[in-house]
Amino acid sequence: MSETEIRGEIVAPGDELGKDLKSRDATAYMEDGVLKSSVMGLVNKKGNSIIPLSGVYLPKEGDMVIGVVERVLHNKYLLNIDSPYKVILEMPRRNDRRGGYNQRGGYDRQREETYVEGDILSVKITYVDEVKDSKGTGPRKLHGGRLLFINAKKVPRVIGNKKSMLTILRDKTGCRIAVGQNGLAWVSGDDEKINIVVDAILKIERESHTSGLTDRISEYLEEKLKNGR
Amino acid sequence: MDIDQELKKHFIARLVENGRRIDGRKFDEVRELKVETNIIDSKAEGSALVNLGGTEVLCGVKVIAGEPWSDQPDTGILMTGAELVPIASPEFEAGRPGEDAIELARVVDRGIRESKMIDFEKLVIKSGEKVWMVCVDLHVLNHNGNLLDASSMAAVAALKTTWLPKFEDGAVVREKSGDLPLKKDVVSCTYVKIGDSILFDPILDEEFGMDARLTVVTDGKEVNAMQKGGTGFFRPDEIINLVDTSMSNYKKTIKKLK
Amino acid sequence: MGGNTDIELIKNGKRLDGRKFDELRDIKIEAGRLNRADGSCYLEWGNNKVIAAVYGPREMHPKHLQENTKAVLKCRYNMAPFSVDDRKRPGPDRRSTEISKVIREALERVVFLNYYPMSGIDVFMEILQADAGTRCAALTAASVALADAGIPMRDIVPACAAGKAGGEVILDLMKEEDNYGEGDLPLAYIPDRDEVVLLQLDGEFSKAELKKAMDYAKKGCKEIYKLQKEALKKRYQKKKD
Repeated sequence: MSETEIRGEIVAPGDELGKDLKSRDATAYMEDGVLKSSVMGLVNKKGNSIIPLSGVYLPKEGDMVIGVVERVLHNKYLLNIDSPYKVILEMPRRNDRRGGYNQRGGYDRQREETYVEGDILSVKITYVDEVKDSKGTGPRKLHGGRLLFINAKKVPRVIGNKKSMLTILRDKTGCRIAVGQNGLAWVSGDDEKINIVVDAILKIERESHTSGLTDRISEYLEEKLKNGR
Repeated sequence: MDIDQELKKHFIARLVENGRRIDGRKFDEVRELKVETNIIDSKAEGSALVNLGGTEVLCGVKVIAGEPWSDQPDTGILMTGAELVPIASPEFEAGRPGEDAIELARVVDRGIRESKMIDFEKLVIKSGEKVWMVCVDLHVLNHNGNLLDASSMAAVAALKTTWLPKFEDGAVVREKSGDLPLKKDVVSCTYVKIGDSILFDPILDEEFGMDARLTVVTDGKEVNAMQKGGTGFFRPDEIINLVDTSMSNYKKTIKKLK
Repeated sequence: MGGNTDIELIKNGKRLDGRKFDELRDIKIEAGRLNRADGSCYLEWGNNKVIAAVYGPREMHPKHLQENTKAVLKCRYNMAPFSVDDRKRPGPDRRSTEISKVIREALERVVFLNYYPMSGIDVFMEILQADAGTRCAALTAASVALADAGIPMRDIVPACAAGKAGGEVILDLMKEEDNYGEGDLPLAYIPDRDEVVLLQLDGEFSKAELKKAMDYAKKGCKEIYKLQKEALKKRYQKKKD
């Protein structure tokens, strides 16, 4: 196998970064006027962004995450999102007219659903508190299918620029795929095709720091679909 | 965690920035030291109670007979233990020694052992079969900072009063056969770093607010043990300076232990 | 420390294994060795074989020890029973407890615990084969494992011991030098920051010898730091399908 190019420079904690670098929270720190990396990261060729190569997911407002119902309490659900932090999903109150009704006053059957331990849900995070526990809303239950745990930092690559990678995965296999920002992915469809999608996603995860990945995945899928597994 | 301590932490850091300590001492000044020996004289072969600015440590030495290590048949044995018993501080819990007690005992032990303060070769009863085992046990009675130096001094003071029993007809007879053979004294000096300042002999509040801690144990000529503690750091030249300071402190401290 | 005069640790100006006084043993570092741990590192240093694994940040247990402003770092240095000449009874002993403590204190200087309130970060170090300098090898491996896990840190921490044997100050003691020499000085020193985060000493060092030993250990740390970063970056340079 020929050497595949890495799309940027690998940095380690303590390595100096360019001053114009835009970094998110925990990836870099400033000390004595110098910006330094705090994680193993990939600095893009232009040198103006750094993405971490590994690490846990920290809940962020606006993110769509996939979680598993871990506990059912009397007025809320606790979701495990494979992070040190949990997502709280409040149950709509039974006698509350708002339960089951969306903001525009229309009836929303989705919101009346009740869940049990083990259910897989996708939710949107609306609020994160100081100890990083978060509130989720708009739950949608994901039925059947297979759940996959990948490194949260690789999710952008799995989704791709303007969903390009995700579109290829869906179109070529016909599977339904949901990828949470927290690194949980859900794939549903034909059993054979699910396996191919899972393998492809794992390949993206391994090679996320290389270039030309989208084309390689496209070829990979075509090959696997032709030959079967 | 004592809320009072948490608040004092910031207060102390500000004081130190302005060149002051919470108890008014200079940065290189040690607290008042009181040493009483032979406290446990009817049961222990050696003992001493040290009060270093309110930190009280009682050291008892028991000398028992035991088998030497197989690779050192003509050498006596030293064992050092420490207990941070609950009476000494609201933060100490009952139970087996935790990491702080273990670290304390091991650092005090190293100072005594590596300096060769005890003449181990004179502790042989029967070569390869029986030697004297010197068991130094530190009982912290009140924690007001700098347990390391107080404990080290208590151990040295206790060892200086320790007598050896007699070994007759295969049994230990608790009558004095002689003094524990000692070749020298060691002195332990502990410093804490708060911001860029270094303070000698930390009082409790200063330990709580410290960034890092360094202990230097010396016999006046050589360094026999050192231990850095705390989650901060020292610069290499700070360490060398503290070794210098500790050597200078040696003579002063030895006088107090007589 | 023995100061045993039966063994000649320095003969004709050379050490038992032929190394120069300021020369390190061979070191091999592999990041990402275990696939279940969040971060890991396998390290060989002379005849030492050490493996470190990091789990976390994850939910902290026991709950009563949680801190609501930061993660709690827990470190465990452990020797396998077969790692030494005389089988070691499994389980923590006083020495392992002390070593775990000083290693944790060193790592707490660099890990940004504040990003993960209420959580716990576990660092496990297993000594599979011991040949002097295990605590430095363990800390070196642990730093790599933490970076491998993606846990934000100020810098990587290298560690290495200097000492005294046959009257000479030497770098990186091997087993005989450690057992029969006159002093041991483990040091963790972060080169670019000029920070000593772990320091212990036992033996008999004059002030000049101590300074020389620290200089040697600093030099050793600089070399190890390079090896640590190379190993971490190498993980992403391998190509495979």
